[in-house]
Amino acid sequence: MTGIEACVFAIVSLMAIVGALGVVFCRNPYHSALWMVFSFVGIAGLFALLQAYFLTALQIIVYAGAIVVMIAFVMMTIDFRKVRGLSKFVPQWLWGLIISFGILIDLFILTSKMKIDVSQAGKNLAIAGSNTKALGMELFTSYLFPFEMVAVILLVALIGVVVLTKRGIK
Amino acid sequence: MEWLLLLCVLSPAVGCIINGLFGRWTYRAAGVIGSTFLGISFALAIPLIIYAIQGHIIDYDYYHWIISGKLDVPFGLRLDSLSAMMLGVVTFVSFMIHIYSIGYMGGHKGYARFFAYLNLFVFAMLLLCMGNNYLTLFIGWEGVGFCSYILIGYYYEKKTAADAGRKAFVTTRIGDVGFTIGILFIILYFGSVKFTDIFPQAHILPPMIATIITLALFFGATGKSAQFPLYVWLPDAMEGPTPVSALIHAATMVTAGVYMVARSAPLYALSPTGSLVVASIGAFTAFFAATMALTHFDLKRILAYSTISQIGYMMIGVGVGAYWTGMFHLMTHAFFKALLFLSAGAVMHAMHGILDMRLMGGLRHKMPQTCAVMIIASLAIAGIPPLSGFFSKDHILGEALMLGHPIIWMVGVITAFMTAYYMFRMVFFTFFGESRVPEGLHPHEAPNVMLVPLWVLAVGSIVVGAIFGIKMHGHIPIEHFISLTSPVAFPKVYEVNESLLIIISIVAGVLGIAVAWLSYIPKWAPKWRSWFVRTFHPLYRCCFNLWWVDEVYNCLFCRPFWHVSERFLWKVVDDKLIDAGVDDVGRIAGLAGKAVRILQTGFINNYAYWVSAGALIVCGWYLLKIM
Amino acid sequence: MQYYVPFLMVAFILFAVGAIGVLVRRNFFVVLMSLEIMINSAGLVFVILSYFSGTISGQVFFIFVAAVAASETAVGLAIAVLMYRVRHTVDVTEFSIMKR
Repeated sequence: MTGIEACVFAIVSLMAIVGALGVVFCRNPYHSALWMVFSFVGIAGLFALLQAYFLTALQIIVYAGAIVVMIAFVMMTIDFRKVRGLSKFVPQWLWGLIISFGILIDLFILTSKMKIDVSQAGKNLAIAGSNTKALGMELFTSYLFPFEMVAVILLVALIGVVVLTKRGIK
Repeated sequence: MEWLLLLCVLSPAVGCIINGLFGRWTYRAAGVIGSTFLGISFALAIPLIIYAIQGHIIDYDYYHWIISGKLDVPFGLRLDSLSAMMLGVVTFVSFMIHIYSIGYMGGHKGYARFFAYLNLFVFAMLLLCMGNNYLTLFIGWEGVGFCSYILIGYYYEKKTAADAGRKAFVTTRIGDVGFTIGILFIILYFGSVKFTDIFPQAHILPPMIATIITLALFFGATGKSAQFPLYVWLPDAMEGPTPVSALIHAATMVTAGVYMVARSAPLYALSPTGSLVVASIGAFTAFFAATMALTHFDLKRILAYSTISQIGYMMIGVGVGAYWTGMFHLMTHAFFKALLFLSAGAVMHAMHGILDMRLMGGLRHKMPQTCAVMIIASLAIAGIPPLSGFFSKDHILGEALMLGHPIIWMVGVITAFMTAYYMFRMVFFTFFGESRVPEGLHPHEAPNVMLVPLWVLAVGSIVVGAIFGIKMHGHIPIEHFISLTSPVAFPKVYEVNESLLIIISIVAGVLGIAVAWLSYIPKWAPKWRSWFVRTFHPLYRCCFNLWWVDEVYNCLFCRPFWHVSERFLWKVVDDKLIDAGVDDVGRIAGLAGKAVRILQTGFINNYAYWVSAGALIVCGWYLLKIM
Repeated sequence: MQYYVPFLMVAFILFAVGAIGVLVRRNFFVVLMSLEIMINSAGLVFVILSYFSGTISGQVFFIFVAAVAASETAVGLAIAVLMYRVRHTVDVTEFSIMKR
């Protein structure tokens, strides 16, 4: 990692983590949504560092754009003033913290024990300088069938959502 | 070519799937659909048979089914002279019977179901005949058994039909145990079930083991092919619809045992003892079943006993080592017995389900065509030249004598006499004499869709024997053809003048017909008959009551089985041990459930806690493992 | 210390923070958002390992993960709307119909 890369890495990872903390600890859910955009932009920066340029764009457009907007839209249909007690945490919050930290420590130790062959690091990620082309080639040749399956999953989700939300309305 | 073969075998399965799954919508067309797929199968069989006649063999593994250690069971088909002959017989006769069923079953409940079963049966039968290893054969073997069971119980609301189906299933299953043991022995000694692996190295078997294997396989054949002592299911199987009796219980399935013995010829050739048992059981069954057919009044049951008897003949053929004679009789028998059953079905159709011959008589005026084909078939089975039965039966008896079994030959000749007698007794009773038809019944000739298959089969019954059974260019065509695969196993013992044998068998047949004529046609016949019955009363009683075999089986096997089941297995083992045990296990589970129920709060975040705690534990466990 | 470790650390911290959000928050929408963060951190691990092992499959898998996450969010939001309509709340501690 060159110095400038290290700097960028520090900035974007800080963005991602601070954003995530903001999502979790903000009282107002709209603020949470905004922090989530912040965090996702940070993760997009990490993708860029990892030379996944297509996914950087995807992350910003789909996650930071579409999904957060969708959640925000749905929240607008709900009047949070009528719902009391939402800003509090659940009674067992301490246990939640303990379990999460336990998982974190577990994962850290596992990482330190892990051995990865990094001789190929940064290679094979682009064809003729284009990451998108490489990704497309892989997606539509080796992973064509899973790709179609994902399309089916999205369709099922779509139908499921329509059925669920229409049930109450006569 | 091998894909053509696969297509030929699979075509009926496609018909079965269409009729089975979409029977609700194919209602009227079900028969035509079923017959069409069989027609395709038959059409595809023709080039295959020609290919086999040219001397080619197809042996192809489509995929590997079971691979376990050294054992490699492929799913493969084999076309050689033996299976080619079966292919021709099965597809042709089934095709005819399917067409006949369109007319016969018309308007019955579950029309599509019937054709789905029938197609499934043909598929299983083709698998049985064409399989290139014992396990594929066994799938077909069980498949036809299952189809036989569901088709006998086709009128499942009728208790007798359901019982008959169960009896058939259980009885053949007893035989299948033997068959399975035989296959296991084969796997043990050869490490393979493929015919091409087993037969070339069959000679490595110790004679003792060869005898065990052949007897075990033959025990399976006695179940499937209704030989003594497991023949009892076949007469009851007549509860099924008549086309089923014709197809399964006369022409194809019950001859599977004969085919299997002929297929295993290299094993039987190693064991003269095993072969002798086959031939003796065959001869005994042929004689025994014929005596039971003598006095019956039920049209279809007479035919059933006659089938048992004729299969006995085939067993004589394959048992003495002349496999081609057994297979030849199998082929001719398929034609004339299917014809007999189908014309009996036509009579039954006309009589609105009545099968008792005492309520018939004089039907030849009402249904002349049925009468004509019935007489043709009876002449064929009685062994009158030049009809087909004559050639095959004569070859069996001739070979039995020449290969050194004079007693079996004698039994065969006596049985031939009885066969002619009871067949013509049936014909005279049904079609001649005065009408005893009950008031209000108006028998009529069958519709054309039924008559056409009858005539086709009748032509087959007349010519098939002559085509394949007459010596041409110094050898008999069918002998040459079958011996490519299963050559005659044992050397000749006696040289006998063939024309003398022919004369003896013709005399036996003609004598039988003459006696039948004398006892039923002339005016003084009833008097003569009653004198005969009085004089030989014990013998007559034995025959009439079928030698009490069913009753003996009942006392020897069924009753003790029931008693043990009820007194011990039910009252003690089931109630006291199993039920009590199961109850306690259930109670423990209930208590445990009550304890664990506390954890089930219904709040989703509680579940989330448990899930993440589980994840933590799993992670920790990994950690402990790598540390 | 290996060169990929800081990246993985970031991903794991994101995962743990998301898990805290799922476990401690009462607002169903915030729980959903935290879930998004957890899924995204899992996808991030795919991309990281794709880079360091030099195969593009990891990036393909991120696309799959994203698609599944999108469907999951859509269904989750539909459930939230439905619960709000029935129970007039989006508090997860009030949702206990699985018991009754």
